[in-house]
Amino acid sequence: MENKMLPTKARVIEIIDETNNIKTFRLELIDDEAKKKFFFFPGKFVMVSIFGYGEIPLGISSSHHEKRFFEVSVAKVGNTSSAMHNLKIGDIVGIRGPFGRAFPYMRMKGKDILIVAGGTGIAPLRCLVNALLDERESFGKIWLIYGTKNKNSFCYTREINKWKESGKINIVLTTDEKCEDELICHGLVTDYLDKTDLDYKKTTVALCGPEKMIENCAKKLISLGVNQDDIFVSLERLMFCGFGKCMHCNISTKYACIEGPVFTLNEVLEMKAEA
Amino acid sequence: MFLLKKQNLRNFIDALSQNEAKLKVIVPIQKDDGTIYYDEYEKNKDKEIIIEGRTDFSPKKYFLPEIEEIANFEKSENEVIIKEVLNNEKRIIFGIRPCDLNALLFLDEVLIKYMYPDKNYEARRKNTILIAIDCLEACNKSCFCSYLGTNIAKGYDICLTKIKEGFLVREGSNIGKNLLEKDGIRKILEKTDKEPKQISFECKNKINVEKIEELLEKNFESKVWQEEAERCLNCTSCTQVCPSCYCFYVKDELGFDDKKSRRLKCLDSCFLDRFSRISRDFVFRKSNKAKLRQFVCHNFYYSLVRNKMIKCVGCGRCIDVCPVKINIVEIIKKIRGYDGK
Repeated sequence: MENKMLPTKARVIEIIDETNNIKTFRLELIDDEAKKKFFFFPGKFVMVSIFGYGEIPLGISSSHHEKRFFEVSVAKVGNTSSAMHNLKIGDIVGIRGPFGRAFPYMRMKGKDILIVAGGTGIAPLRCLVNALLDERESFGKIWLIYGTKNKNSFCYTREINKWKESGKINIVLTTDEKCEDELICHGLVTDYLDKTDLDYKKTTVALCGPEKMIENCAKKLISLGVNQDDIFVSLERLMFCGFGKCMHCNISTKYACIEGPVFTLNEVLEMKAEA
Repeated sequence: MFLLKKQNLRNFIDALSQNEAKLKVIVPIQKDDGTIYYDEYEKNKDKEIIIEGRTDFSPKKYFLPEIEEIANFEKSENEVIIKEVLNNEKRIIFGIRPCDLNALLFLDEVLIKYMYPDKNYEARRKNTILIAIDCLEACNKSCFCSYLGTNIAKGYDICLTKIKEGFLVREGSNIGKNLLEKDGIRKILEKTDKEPKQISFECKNKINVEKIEELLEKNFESKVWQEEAERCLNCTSCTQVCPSCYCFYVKDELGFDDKKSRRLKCLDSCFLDRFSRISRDFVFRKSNKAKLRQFVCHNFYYSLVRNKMIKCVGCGRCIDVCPVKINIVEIIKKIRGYDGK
């Protein structure tokens, strides 16, 4: 069997500055065999190597319908991500994966969908939004509630405008800090969860963001009547292997790299508080 | 079954180290500071080979070294060359105890059989011949292997049992059988009809592992965790001496010129903050309580649910090295005592 710890090569074919701290990298796998085998659904992640600087887990942020390339977005927060921010078009990175469990994309068909993102948590959800919009007629109502610290920390702004213009999705943008922009609301994402026209009992929810946000959203969503099995949460954990060896993403009997990073809220509640 | 006379033990090891396959023979010896650990026979010919009692360190380092290069990268103008690095040294480990053998069987389960194999571990495992020595009695006051069934040698290539005249030698695999048939080795051994006695000792340090996964699940919020973890110094001694601890992190080491770099797999410890640290310095398992609980639950609960094996092999090393006397057996006992109260 092949060595799953060995990366395959991908070339950076485009770099997009999302905010002053976040960049999106468009990557194309170099090896044709690897490209053929590269298959994923929204929510899965890859291990990205910046040779000499380390390897980090990143959620794929482009739609799985795009076969020529895929994208990852990364905030400059640590050594590896900082090195990644120094990459130029044409540079080579290493890719392992995709790993993990995705959002139940196929089971979402025919359902109303609420997507809630906080900060960089938008990345795997952008993948989901684009995939949903690719097959818009297969889904019911779609709502996106996306909150960040301030106006300048929104990612994918051009794309979000396009989504808005298409009229295929309802979008609420909100910031913690007050801002002048009349299209942007003020407050936390939790303040807007009940401001949609969704039938909460029949809605599937996809959540990704800081731990605290997930906790508060979960409480609010349950009080709104969303079924706990219909709330899907993408968790962030430290990872070094991606296939259940290194133990860093272990949460009680589960591994975020195998059973996650997307868990149902029920599963998250079963994984006892760890602090 | 063969008999190896007491006075021939050295000759036997010499014969192993002189075989044509150029295998390195690793034996348990005592360091000048008194520590019993495994090292190359060739370099320690003057030292006594310790065949009784527990070794202070298991031979884990030959399977999961503290730091191991797993790949290297060479960058040029428009290309990166990725090279896989696997350790292909062939070894014989002589004198491995049943507890440490059982730890290897657990590691095989997790690192080779579960999902995709860890190729670096697998390579080292495949290239190693194991010659075990049976334990006939509890070897120290801390061990509790007899309650876990890990006092019985399993998965060896050859096994020795101490008797009055020397050792009974039996094979456990084809590799072991072939090795015993080699000229230089065969002539040191005598054929015998004797059979080793059934091993049936009981350790002093009693542990009850009945339905232990249920016990730990139910008592996840037990006050025992806090009581016991309060004095933990996060020194990681326990995870270092543990023969079945395998958690690792991966880091890259950059060469001077930014062109060449190495990828290293390094053993980690769940008692450190860095173990569960994610972006923005958020640490999931910050408290001593959560760290100790992770260690104990991985040993007796998570491993049982995921891999159908208890990770702990009851060697008792973690108990003996702990500077603040945290005792895994006492923790389980205490939790059982509080259970349902």
